Parts: sequence; structure tokens; C-alpha cells
Amino acid sequence: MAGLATQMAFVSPNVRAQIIEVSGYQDLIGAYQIQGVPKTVINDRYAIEGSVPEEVFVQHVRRAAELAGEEMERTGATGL
Amino acid sequence: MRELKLELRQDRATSTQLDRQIAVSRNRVRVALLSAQDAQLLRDGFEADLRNDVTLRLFGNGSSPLYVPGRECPACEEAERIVDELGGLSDLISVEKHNFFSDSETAIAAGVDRIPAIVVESDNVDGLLFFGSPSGHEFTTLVETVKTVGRGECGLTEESRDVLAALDLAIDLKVFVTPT
Repeated sequence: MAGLATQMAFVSPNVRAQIIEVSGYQDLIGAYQIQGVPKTVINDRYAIEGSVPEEVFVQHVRRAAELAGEEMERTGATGL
Repeated sequence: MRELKLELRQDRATSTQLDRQIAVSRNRVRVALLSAQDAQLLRDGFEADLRNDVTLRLFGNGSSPLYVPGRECPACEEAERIVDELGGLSDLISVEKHNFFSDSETAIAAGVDRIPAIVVESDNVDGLLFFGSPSGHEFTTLVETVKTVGRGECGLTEESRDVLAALDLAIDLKVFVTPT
């Protein structure tokens, strides 16, 4: 997941990848409800537990972006 | 290819967090970093793959020998040693070091809100951040990220690239991992 995330950030200027070795950050374990790794959180709203293939990961990213877009339409916020 | 994995050996006879911090300050943590064989493997890999300059920007606590409450960073020393060793393996890899506390504006601009952090970037690539010490399996991810940036190519499929190219929103991916 970490490798895929960094490749996504590499190809898209709209994507940022943060690889977080979480054992040193107890606050994040609680905040993001981490009970196992890898755990991927997209825009702090959409979580993927465990490892998934590239095509599934990309579809999760697309779905998370759609959800974020719908939320912004409701709230009137801007995305970039 | 054999996976490179940094193994951390710790010589800690202490029990409290404060004691551990003091132990780190006294350089009592021994870290087995790259063996000569692994260093040569990486050097050869970088020579074959890197075509562009890559910068590793380390944000840490400034390597102070002082124990400063609130500025503890048990993993900073190890992270610094990792970027130093990687920087020594290719002329195309440069290392910048920033003190998170005295250079907070630079940290904020880079999206760094905790330490240690390693930002991998080039002239036209950013948004790649590693938090915590990238030891264990994540060392491989860091190395591969350096190669991707330095090569200017990655292994994602055309279909994945098309989906990502169509994104018109900022996407923040946080991938939580552990060393093992």
C-alpha cells in the first residue's frame, strides 16, 4: 500500500502520500482507530484496511474523491 | 530481488520514557544500518535507475544532545543515519536537514507536522512524505520511492494513471505501517 501510494503521488500533482510508521505516534493510533496495518486513510474520511491490489486501491481513491466532491457540493467548499 | 530490511538493535537497559530519551541522547542506541553488501547493492541500483536529482529533506530535532521536554524524538537519530547513508550512495541524491523546531515555517510549507519526517522530492515532484523512522520493510519503500522519483517513471498501469489524471480534488493518502 505504501509503495502504491507513493507512486500515485508521483504521477498526480493532486495526490499527496504520507507513509507513517505509526508505532511512535500513539495519538494517531487512537485518532485513526488503527488496529492493524497497513491501514490507509484517504482525506481523513475514507479508510482501507489491509493490503489491496492496485486496481482496487485506485477505485477506492476515485470513490473517496467522489464522496469528497459530493460533500463539498453540500457545503460549498472548494477542493484544490 | 532480495528485500532490504533494516534491523534495529537496541541496547536499552532502561524502563521509563525519560530514561529512553536520555539513552538516545547518549548515543547508547546502536543501529545496524547497511552492510557493505547491501550498500553496494543499493549503489548499483541507484546507478542503474537514477537519471534525475533527488532530494531527501529530513526534519528532525536538530541532533541536540540535550534532553528537552516536549521535543523528544526517539526515532530522529535513526532517520538521520538512514538519509545520510542513502545520500552517500549516489551523487544524484542530496540531503537537506531541517530543525523542526527552529525552522517551523519550512516544515509547515512541506506539510510536516511531526518528526522525524523525510520528504522525497525533485524539481517537479513533491508530496511524498515518510514519518517516523523508515526502518524494517518501509526502508524498501523509501528506496523504491527514491528510484521512482530519480528515474522519472513508475510502475502504475495506464488505467490507474487515467483515473488519477481525472482527479480534480486534492487527495491525501495516509498509509499507516509498522516496521515489521
